Amino acid sequence: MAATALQEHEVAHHFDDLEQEFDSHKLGMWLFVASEIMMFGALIVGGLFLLYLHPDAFAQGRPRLDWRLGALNTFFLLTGGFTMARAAAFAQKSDQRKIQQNLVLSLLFGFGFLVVKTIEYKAKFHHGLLPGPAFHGEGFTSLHAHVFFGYYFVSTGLHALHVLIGMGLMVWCLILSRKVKFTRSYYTPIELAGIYWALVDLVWLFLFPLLYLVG
Amino acid sequence: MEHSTEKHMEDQPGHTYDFKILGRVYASLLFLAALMVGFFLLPIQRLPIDWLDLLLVKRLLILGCSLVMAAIVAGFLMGLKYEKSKLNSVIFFTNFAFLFVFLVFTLADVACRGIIDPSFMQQINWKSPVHIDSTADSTPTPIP
Repeated sequence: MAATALQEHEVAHHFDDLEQEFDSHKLGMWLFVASEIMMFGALIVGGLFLLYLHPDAFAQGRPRLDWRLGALNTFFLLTGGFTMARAAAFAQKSDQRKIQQNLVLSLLFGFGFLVVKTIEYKAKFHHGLLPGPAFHGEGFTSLHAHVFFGYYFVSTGLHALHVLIGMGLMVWCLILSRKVKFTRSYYTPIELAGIYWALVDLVWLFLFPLLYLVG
Repeated sequence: MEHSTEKHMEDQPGHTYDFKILGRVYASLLFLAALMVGFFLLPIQRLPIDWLDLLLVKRLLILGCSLVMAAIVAGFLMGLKYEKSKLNSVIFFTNFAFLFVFLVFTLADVACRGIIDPSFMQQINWKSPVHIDSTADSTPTPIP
């Protein structure tokens, strides 16, 4: 690593200096976060209304989910968020080795989350707990039981897609770090990827109780 | 536009991460997650209190934990606490104002549906794919 010189970051021509570039990128990221919150916020509020309208569906659907797997996924995401923040912290110190270690750890936790989700989905498919008209689960006494599983698949599926995108961002940051692109003064990509991953955490912190705990 | 590496090294944009604070944030998030699951496992609703909806209290406690955790994530992991630009915070919090408007209007619709015209309560061409099982066990086992 020592043999590789620190890469100087070229500030784009339409910015006056590095700080202005950083602030502009961050503003763009926060606007993106805003659009994501509106989307997931509407989904979560919709879930609360479904709980209000069809409490029987949630009461019968929720016990079919294993809260232990949900809690394990919460641990994976929180730890991934922590290691991602550590990666950004090490980027400020320009410690490429530690950046890469923490990014790989975050990637592993993200991968662990997706593995657990796959196990959960597989079991639901096996038991016919599919969304919409494809639902053919047995042992229900509520006509709205399929509503819960429709909501479960839409919300967790959209969230899992965001986890996958977040992992893609981590791989990108890993490549940049391998090229020694992060310096004490330039670490914008890893900072923004960290904000994105924290958003993924944030969404799960509402989906987990709504689906696994309060139904 | 010329920029020297030395200049960039001096001018670090954004806030500086503190490892100690990050550790504390992580520990508090794990504690709150454990607390949330603890509230879920606690049979509060079986307490002999009938003047209070204990199931609602339990739900509020669980959702309260997740709200505090979300505030910690937004403040420290997303760095909102250290944002020097107030505009970013305004953008973030304005979202919740819009969500509140959405919540109020939808709640007004759901709560009052059918009061003026009962025909609004009727489901149109609705057929549930669920096959009712009258012999179903009331406590289904969780599927992994």
